[in-house]
Amino acid sequence: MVKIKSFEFSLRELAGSMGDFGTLFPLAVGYIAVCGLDPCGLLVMMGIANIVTGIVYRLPMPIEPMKVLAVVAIAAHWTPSMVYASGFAMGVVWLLFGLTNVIGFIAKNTPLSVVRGIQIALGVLLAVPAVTMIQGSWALGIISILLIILFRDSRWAPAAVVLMLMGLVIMYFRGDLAGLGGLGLTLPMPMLFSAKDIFTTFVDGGLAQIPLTATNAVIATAALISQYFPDKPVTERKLAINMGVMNLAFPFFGGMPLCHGCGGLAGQYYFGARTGGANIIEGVIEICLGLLRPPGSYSSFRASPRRSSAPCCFWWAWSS
Amino acid sequence: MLFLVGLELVKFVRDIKWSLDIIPLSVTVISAVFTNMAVGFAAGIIADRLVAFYSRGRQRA
Repeated sequence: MVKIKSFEFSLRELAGSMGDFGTLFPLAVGYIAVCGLDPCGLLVMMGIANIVTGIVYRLPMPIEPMKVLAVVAIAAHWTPSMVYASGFAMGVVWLLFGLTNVIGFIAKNTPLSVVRGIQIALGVLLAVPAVTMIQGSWALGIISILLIILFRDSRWAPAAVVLMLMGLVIMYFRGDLAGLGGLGLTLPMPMLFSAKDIFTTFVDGGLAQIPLTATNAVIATAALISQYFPDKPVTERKLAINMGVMNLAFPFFGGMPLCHGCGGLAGQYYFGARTGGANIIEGVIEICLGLLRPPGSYSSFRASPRRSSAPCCFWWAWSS
Repeated sequence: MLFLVGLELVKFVRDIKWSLDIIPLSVTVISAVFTNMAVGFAAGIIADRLVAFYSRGRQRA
């Protein structure tokens, strides 16, 4: 374990950093496979967001795709420029909400019972599809749950790391790792989008995203931080401004629309994240995956459904 | 992992004052699960205001 000031870099922080992969992988793969987003830009921007957020907050702070926008974009086969434009539009909205403290007003006038209701609803929405997804492979599902319970507090073999390794072993034996080849260096490319794209995507998906982000990514996340880390409270305003700045900058280099998330924070904390070190570890992993990806590894998602089973295997491990 | 994280979030129900808060909490959960978070949020706020209005009326009476 390495400790630098309040940052801890250990196996437990690594496991915690994997706690929100379940919200990342399926939507990121959908963006790449269906919308044609550049994987390098997507992963590198996500990594930078994680590192900066970890340093700024000094706490585990999940960075996730905006879910309504992702679902609309994938369902409607948005072009990459439309996805980037939607992220920029969200950046403008959240920066305005943060600077004018509109979000603070909403949070202040939201009763505790409603905040808890949102958290519980998120818990139900996470748990129910997990049960659905392990149907048909109950044995593996039960083994995964037992592994999590056994290794959750382990310093040497934390549960999320064990599960991810298990996912990799399963992928290896299914042949999903074959043919990936050597590593190749790629860099994020500058991206542009039109004012028309910003307006269209804001109307089609952005408007519906705002209340979800306000409740899940801002109000419920701030409430959960005050429960997990009572001595390090984070205001709703700060979360909103952070999301605004991220989404104003990252789309120009291939970043998808990003937000925080109560479910992701619960996942990170549950699996051992206690410091900003978890975010920094996750960010470094994502930047390495983005810059040093094996040639053709992501384009194969589009060509071969069998290749798509690789991230799904990770997703399966996470979902159980 | 998703399943156990879901359970982790549900445990925050402990903070609730059951007599007064159960109605807006239930309305929020049910609306959010069966429609979406935005509807759940709005329905929960409305339920909370209605409960507050009703309890004020009872106190006056």
